[in-house]
Formats: sequence, C-alpha cells, structure tokens
Amino acid sequence: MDFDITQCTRCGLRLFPTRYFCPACGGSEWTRRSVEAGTVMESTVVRHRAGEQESFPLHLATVRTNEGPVVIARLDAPVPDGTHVRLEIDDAHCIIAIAC
Amino acid sequence: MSSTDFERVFITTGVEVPYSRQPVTGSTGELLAQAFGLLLAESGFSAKDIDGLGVASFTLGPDHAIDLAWRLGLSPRWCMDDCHGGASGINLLQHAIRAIQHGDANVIALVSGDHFQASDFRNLVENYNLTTRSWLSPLRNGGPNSVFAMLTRRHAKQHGLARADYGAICVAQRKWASLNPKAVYRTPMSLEDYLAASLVADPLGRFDCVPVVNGANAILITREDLARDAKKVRVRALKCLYNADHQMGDGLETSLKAIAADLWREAGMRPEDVDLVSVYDDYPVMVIAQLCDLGFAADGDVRALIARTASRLLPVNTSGGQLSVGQAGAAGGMHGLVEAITQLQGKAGDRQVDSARLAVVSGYGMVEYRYGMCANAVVLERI
Repeated sequence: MDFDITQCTRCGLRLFPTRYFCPACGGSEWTRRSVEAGTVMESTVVRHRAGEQESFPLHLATVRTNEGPVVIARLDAPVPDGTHVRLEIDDAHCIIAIAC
Repeated sequence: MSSTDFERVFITTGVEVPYSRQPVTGSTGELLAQAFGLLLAESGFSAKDIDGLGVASFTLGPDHAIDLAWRLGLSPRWCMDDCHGGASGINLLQHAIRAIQHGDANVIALVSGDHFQASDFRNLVENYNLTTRSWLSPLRNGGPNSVFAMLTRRHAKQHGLARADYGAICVAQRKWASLNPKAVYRTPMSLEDYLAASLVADPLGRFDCVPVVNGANAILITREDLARDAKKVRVRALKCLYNADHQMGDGLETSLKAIAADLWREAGMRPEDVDLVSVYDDYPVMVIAQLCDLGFAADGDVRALIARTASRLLPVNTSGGQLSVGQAGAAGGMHGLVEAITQLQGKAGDRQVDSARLAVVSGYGMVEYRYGMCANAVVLERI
C-alpha cells in the first residue's frame, strides 16, 4: 500500500506528517500526494529498545522521498547511504523501505 | 518587539532531590513535594509565602499543577503547567519572571520531576505525541535513541567527526560527575571504556544515551525586595524559540542558532565572558550542536571546541550532566539551571568553578518526529 504526504493547495509546500495550517503561507487546504520511492540519507541498527529484554536488531533509515519530505522507515537489511528505495506502508501503519 | 527587561526579580534557590536509578517508593507527586520541601528549607521561605507554582512533569497525571498546589497546601495566585520537556525549566522561568514583574505573584516555586516504572517509560516514548504514536511507534523504534543515532550520523558526516569525538564529551562529563556526590554514575570512565561499551543504536553506544532515573528539581524566584539569601542570581537575558524550522531541516542546528545573537547582545556580553555553561545533554551530539549554536565555536572549529570542553577550559555541564547524573524526565529541563545556580552561589563543593559569576544555560527538547522542536537559553549572573 502506498502512503501519502500533503501538499499545501495555496503555496505548494509539501509536508509530512500532516499539519492543520501551512507553516509557509498559512493555508489550510491540502492535496494528497502518493509517495512511492525515495533515497536513503542515513541509517541505523537499533540493538536495544526500551522495555524489551530480548531485542532483535532493527534496521531504520532516514529517507528523502521523491516528493521532498523526509520520513523514517524500516529496512529489512542494512543498505548504504544513497540507496534508492521503494516506500510502502503496512497494515500496522509502519513505513517500510525496500531497496530497489 | 521583545522585552529585554528582567529587572526586579531574583532567583534565590535551586535544589535537586538526588536522582535514583531504581524506582523509589512513592509517586511523582511525592518526589515533587520532596523538592518543594527542600526548596523551602534552603530558601527560608514558608509555604504561606509561596503565591505562585509552576510544574513540569510527564508522569504527574492524572494530577496537574493545581492538584499539586492543593496537596502542597498552597493557594496560588499564579499556577502553570508546562510541557516542554528539556526546555521546560527555562520556559517556566520566562513566565515566572513576567508574573512577578507584573504583580501576579511575588514568590514562585517552579518544580519538575518524574518517577518512572518500566511501563511508564515505555508508554511515554511510544505515546510522546501524535506523530510519534502514528509514525514512530509502529516501527518499534524503541524511543528517541534511533532518531538521534541518525542525527549523530548526519552530524559526524558534516563535521568529519568520529565516535571518539562524541566520547570526549561523555568522558569529560563523567569526570565532572566524579566530583558530584549526587551523580548516579560517578566511576571515572576512559575513552576506551566509552568505545568498548555495547552499541544501542549505531553509532550510539551505552554511554551516549542518558540513563533514565527518578528525581526532581526546584527553583525559587522572588520579587527583588523579598529575597532573603545573600547569594542571589539574576537573569541578564532569556530567549525562547520553538519550531524554528518546522521539522523541515536536518536537526543539526537548534533554534538557539536563531536567538543567540540577540541573547548575547541583550546580556551585554559575549560567549567567552561566561564562567560556565549548562547545555541540555540528551546525547553528546546535542551538547556540541548547542554549544556551536550559542557561539562557542565562532571560528567553526568544532574539534577545538570539543578539546576546550574536555580540558575544562570551557566548563560544560559541571554536575556531570544528564549523561552521568541521569535524566529524570522533565526534571532534565531544570537540572542544568539548578547546577548553574548552585555554581554561581558557590555551593558546588569539589566541582566548584572558581569565582563563577556568569553562566549560560540552554534547554532543548520535545522531539516531534526527527529532532527537538524547542530550544531556549538564559544568561545568569551572581549578584
């Protein structure tokens, strides 16, 4: 499933996550734009998480979407910075990046 | 227009209920009450004198500031809840000064603190705000370590820094902590110890992440003529700025960058004039970022700044900071302020900075999505 970012109808600013009013022009009407892909800016592997004794390594990436806004997404495996990824959202509302 | 007048108001007292790694008996409210009691004992004021109360806490709920006021036996004329995390101490101070200047209150107690059970902390990081609940928790990212790990990677890339450079900040703060009997972690730590520690979220290791503790801080602010302690502290300048970039940047600059020039101009001084610095230290990268934003590396030489901090030429986070003392939730936003007040009053014991007269303190926090939204700073002077 694709996911959306919002674009201010008045000034065109693209934002994620959504806002009520546009920080650039004050507009409050939005167009939704589907996000399909992006580029990994940097990544990390989380080895220990709060409240979990038995943690499994979790790969996360900061991804610049082709639409502009930056999202944090889960990776299946580590990838180098600059990797192009397809972006999806799963049933648990988790953004997933898949190396192209 | 902005008000640059901080006259006719003094900070007289700053206290800390020693932080504790283990859950302590009692509740958040009881910890805050303990801080309030310490504040009265140290300041010489009685509860009847206190006509203003400000509170910052993540775990006081379902109570609020007014419930705490009732439990403390107070009838405040001014009462305020604050929820600015690591920026809450200075945010509360800004409001409290104005309240006193305008006669809404005469003697204000500001308290902050948290008491966490394991489930409380997990609940806090998963439901920190709507963005976190909707977009970070589903990743099972486990709280802010992962986003600051990626921020540290960006910062290291931009400045050509390695893990050891961030480690130098942690080692320096631990050295200060070894002189602070209230610090939770006091055992001296070498750079080798730092580098050998297990990784939490690459490149962040165990000593890059603040230990979660229970504890509370409090500050007393009063109308000039009511101040009793001879060792008074006044505010020379105070600035807050939130959402400077609306989370559209890279998080490597805080909003301190935008307010620093006005802060120093209004304080009538330059960064090199201060005797000590407290910057909000949730991660060593943010210590470096805030010092840079405040103008402590005017030549852009970040390595030299780290070296000055490590050698104590620039005394930074002299309590050991949250990295060694621990992060007691919202108390973290007041910890550096209390340390600066303690130093300026000459009450810092073995870690006392010689003839400390001027300090700058910054707050930073409230991660909306990828980094903190809030930053503020205050320049303090011993009278």
